[in-house]
Parts: sequence; structure tokens; C-alpha cells
Amino acid sequence: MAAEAEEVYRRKFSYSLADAGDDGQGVIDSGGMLNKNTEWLQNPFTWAFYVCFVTVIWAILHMTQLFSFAESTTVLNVVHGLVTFLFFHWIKGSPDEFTQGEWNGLTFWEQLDAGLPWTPTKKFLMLVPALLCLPPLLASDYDSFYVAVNLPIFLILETAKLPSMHRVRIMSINATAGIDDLKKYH
Amino acid sequence: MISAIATAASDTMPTTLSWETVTYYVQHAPQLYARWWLNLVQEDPGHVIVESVLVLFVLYVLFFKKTLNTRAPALGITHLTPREVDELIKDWQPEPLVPAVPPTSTLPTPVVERVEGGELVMAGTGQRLVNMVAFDFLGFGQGREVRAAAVAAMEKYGCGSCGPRGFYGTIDAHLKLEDQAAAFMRTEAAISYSDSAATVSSCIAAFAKRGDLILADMGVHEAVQTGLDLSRSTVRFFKHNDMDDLLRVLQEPFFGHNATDELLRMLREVEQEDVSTGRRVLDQRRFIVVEGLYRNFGDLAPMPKLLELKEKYHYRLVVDEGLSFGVLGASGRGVTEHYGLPVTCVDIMTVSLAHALASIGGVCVGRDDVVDHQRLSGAGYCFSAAAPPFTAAAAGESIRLLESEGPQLLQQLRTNAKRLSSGLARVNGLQVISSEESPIVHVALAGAGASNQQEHLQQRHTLEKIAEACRNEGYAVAVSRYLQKERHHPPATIRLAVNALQTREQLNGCVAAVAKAAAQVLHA
Repeated sequence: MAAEAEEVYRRKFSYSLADAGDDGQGVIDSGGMLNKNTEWLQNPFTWAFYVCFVTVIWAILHMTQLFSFAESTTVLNVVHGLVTFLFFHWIKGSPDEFTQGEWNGLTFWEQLDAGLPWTPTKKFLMLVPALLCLPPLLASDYDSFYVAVNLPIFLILETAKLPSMHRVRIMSINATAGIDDLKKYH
Repeated sequence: MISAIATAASDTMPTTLSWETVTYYVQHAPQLYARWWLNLVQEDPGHVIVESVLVLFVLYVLFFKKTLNTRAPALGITHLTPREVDELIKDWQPEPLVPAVPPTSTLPTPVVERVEGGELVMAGTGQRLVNMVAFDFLGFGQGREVRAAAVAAMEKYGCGSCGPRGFYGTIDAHLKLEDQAAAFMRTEAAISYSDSAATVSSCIAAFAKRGDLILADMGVHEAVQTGLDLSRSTVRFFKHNDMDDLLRVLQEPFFGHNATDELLRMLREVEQEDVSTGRRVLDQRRFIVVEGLYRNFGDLAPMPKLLELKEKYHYRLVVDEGLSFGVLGASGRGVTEHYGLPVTCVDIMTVSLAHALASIGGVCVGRDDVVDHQRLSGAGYCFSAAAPPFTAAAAGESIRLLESEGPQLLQQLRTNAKRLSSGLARVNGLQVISSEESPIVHVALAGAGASNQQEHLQQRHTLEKIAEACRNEGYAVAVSRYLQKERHHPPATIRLAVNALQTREQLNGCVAAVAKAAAQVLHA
């Protein structure tokens, strides 16, 4: 079954197709084009840089000697959670001027890998919040305060990353006028 | 039971570090782990649950979800095996380049050999027919002046303009035409396009973009619909005419359709949506798109009501004056003049040079900023060769004629239109659906209701027979044709075009011919 799905998938994507816009026309518009906004994140060197960067931030926090281990990792998790939520799941569109607004309705996460789920990049990015959530909890021996701070961050980030949340705007929060309208076509 | 296992394991636990201790731990590892874990479940269930969730999530992502290898497709490369390639080729069903269209006519298509004044000479038979099909409303196409201007420009500039306007294609004839059009319409500026259909489609797409909102009349013609598609905006259509309304049009030819009522409902709906979603009016550009004189219906947009609504709900009004320019109003300035409104009340106005002005191309008139925006955003302006200088000169000459002779010609045109339209209204078995002052007269079968594709086709066949019989009587009339891809099909009609040079005898003769043809076909 899995092999079959893989084959169907490979055949389907033997031509370039991207999920853009919301009217079906977006698919045509972006066909054969790379999304420069997200392309760079597919590179494993970017992942390595990401890991190093997060580690360095933590090291700096730790070296200030203002925090215990549990506190510094919590601060790291909170900051990481806020920044990634903002850039992956809140800000929409693409800074690339030449895309004619094709990506105006999609967040970075939705643009990533042409909107396909469970790609290597997405799996890597889904592991990061889980692995950042664990250290403060272990260090504080699951103290209720640390659980209350760290666990919701993990849950929100991972929920936003689930494939079933693709293009979902709960209660029109973060919806784009005209693109995520209640009624699109009449 | 849980506690029993826990105590059983702890009783005999050695504490000193020795070979036995290690052996003990190795041997009893499962029980020890179970004991530790069960203790934890009892003492700190939150710990267990949270940690399990996290660990299981990591394991799920790592091992249970198959990774899609998207790297290659994302870069545009997927290496398929030869077998997969063969299968893909075998499965491939080519779609026809042009979708199969059911034949719209069983009758032979009449072919015109040449046009002589107000008459058509048919190929083969040499039969001479009175031209009731050309949109040459003021008869400029038949006159000498426009031709002479075109010939003079051709001799001066040659044939083509050799490039887009922004790329060595601009010639003084274009600039002169733009100045003339702006001066005639009393707007700040004008921009000329080389094709009349491209004018409106480029113009709409230059202003409305993805995420914007367009409320359009269902009756707009195909070029406007193309503009709506090209804009990638959210488009909602309001009803042009339903058939109950057609009757009302007959009684009330001047202000005759309830399009605005439907539009009003839609405007309120959008407003309610704004409130419920917390959306601001300025979050999207909003447009109402109508035609001044509807090509497919021959009735007018109710401008006063539209203006009132667009001001109230903060929309911009786009009016395609393709047909109404040079036709409506005392001096031919279009639908705004017809209603006695200032031309500036319309935000974006496109004009066709191909109908009353007897040339080719189009012009968009309006404020400086509206026009300037199109010089870099109007697709038809930027990416298409400029109009040949001689067509621009011809259009310029037509505008000059319209200024000098317009009022008399327009009066004659209206008299003619009224004569034909009222004459045809009395024909048994047919009904006129266009309004009285429209020089395009649409005649449908009486009682022809909102029909499906099949009925539409049948009506067309009947009308084509009537049109053929008319041609045998010496009058060339056309059955309106629409593209399959058009969203909202207008009713099947015979379309007649009136011009100012037609005589009373010709028009009466035409009515008689249609009446005779209708009687022949409908009572056969």
C-alpha cells in the first residue's frame, strides 16, 4: 500500500505543480516555478545552521548565569515558539516581488514544499518543538509551572503544522480579505 | 495489584556494588523498570502522560510517517523508472486542443463578398442585402471622410506601428487620438489600445488583482468576462435579467431591469461579511463592473442607481462603454450623458473605437492617475503592438465628425432605432428584449423563457431559419452567437443593428421582412 502510494505520488509529481492561490488558477500560475520564499529551507545545511543557531542562543542565555537550566531552556522554548509561530504560521505571502501575489493567502508553512505533508523539511521542523520542549520538563522534573509554560507551546506549534490544518483559518483568525472570504465564488 | 508487584520487587533488592548486584539488575531489569514506571504512574501521572505524548510524537514523526521524498520534484526533477515512464505514456489521454462544440447551426453560413454603402453583396449569388448587422451606427464606415483620413495616414506613416507603445510604437497619431478622446469626453486623459476587446479586459485586470472583489453583471459580454478572469479577483455575478423581468423591460424600456436590486442584496451581503469577519473596507479593492449599453441584451445600465450604491458601499465603478460611446447621449458621450451625469462619476470607462467610430481599437478615458497606471499595467497596452497609425487617424477623424455632425446623426439614429424596435414589437411570435433607444435590437421568440442548453439550441435553429428567410427578402440580419465557455448564456436572439443612414423605407421594409419570415417559419 505504502509502495503504491509512493508510486502514485512519484508519478503525480513527475511534473512540477504547486499549490498556490485558492481558486485553482493559482496552480496554473505557479506551475513550473520554484517558490523562492521557502526553497532555501529544503537544504540540510540550513537545518544544521538552524540547530547550531538555537544552541548558540541557549548557550548565551546559559552563560549570562541569570537562569537555571530549566529556566534557560524554557526561555529558549518560549522565544523559539513565538518567532517560529510568527514566521511560519502567521505572516503570509512572499517577499519575492515577482510572484504577482500568488502566495498572498498562504503562510510560510503552507507554502513550504508546495503544500505537501510529511516532507523531510517538514518532519525536521516538526521535531524541533518536541525536542525543545523536553529539556525544561526533564530538568524541572515535570514541575507544573514548567509544564504549563512549555507544553502549550509544543501543542500549538505542532497543531499548526499538522497536514489537516493546511489552509484552515479557525474563526477567520489570520484570514486574508478576498482570499479566505466566507464565500468565494458566486 | 500494582503495589503488590512493586513491594515484591523491592524486598530482595541488593544495595552493595558487586558482581551479584550487576547480575541481579540484569536479571530483574524488566521487573525493576516496571516497578519504577508504575511508581511514577502513581506518584506523578502528569509526568508520564506528558512525556509519553512527547516521546510518542517524536517516534511517530520519525518512524511511523513515511517521508515523501519531495526534494527532487521541488527542484523540478523526478527520475522515473523506464516502467513508470511507459505507464505514464500509456495512461496519457490527450485532451482536445479545442473542446468539442455541438453544431450551433445546420444552415450554410452566408458569406459576404463586399460591402457597398449600406448594402452587402453576397458571395456566389451576388444578391444585394440591406446591411442590418454592422455596428456602424453613425454610418461613418460608409462615408468618405474616415476612409480619406485612413488613406492619408497610411501614405504618411505606412501600415504598422512596429512595436508596443512603450517600445518605439508610439506615433503622433496615437497621441493625437488620445488627446482628442480625452477632450471629447472631457476627462483628464485617455489611453489608446490597439484592440477593442483587449481594452476592457486589460483595463479590468490592470486594477483588480488577486484577493480583490468584483461584482459584475451576468449580462456582460465575453471581453469583459475575460477581464474578470484575468484579474484573478473574487468575482460575484448579479442577475442581469430574468424572464419575468423581460416583460417589465418591455413595459419600461428606459429604466428596465432589477439588476440593481440583486446588486443591492449582494452589497449588503458583503457588508455583513465585513462586520462578521472584522474585515475593513480598505482591505480589498472593490469594483462594480457593468456595460453602458449591453451588447447581448441591448438595454442600459441604470447609472443613477449604480452611482448611488457605489458611493454608499465604497466601490469603484467600471463601465464598458464599448457600444454606448457615440450612440447614447445628445452628443454621443455615452451612458453618463444619457442620464445627464458628469463623466467623472465613473471611475474607469472603456470605449471601443470599432463600432460607432468605424475604426479599430479602444480607448480608456478617465483621471490622470487611472490612465497613467495603465501605461505600465495594462497588458494590452504594454505587450501588444500599438494600433496602426491609420486606424488611430481614422478614429480621430470619426471623433472630429462626431463633434461636428454628431447631434443630428444621433437624433436620426434614435428615431431609426425607435422605428425598428416599435415595428418589430408588433410582429407576431417575436418579442423585442432590447430597450427603445438602443440601436442594437435583440428579438427573441415570444414567451422564450429561461431555457436549458437544449431549448436554447432549438430556439437558435428557429431564429436562424427566420434570419435566412429575411435574407431571402433582401435584409441581412444576424442570429447572436455566444461562446460555449461563457458563464451565463444570454437568450437566443436575432440581432439587428440600426444606423443613422438607414431610410424609413428600409426600416419599414426590414420589419415587414422579419414579420413575413417569422410567419413563414413559425406557422410552417
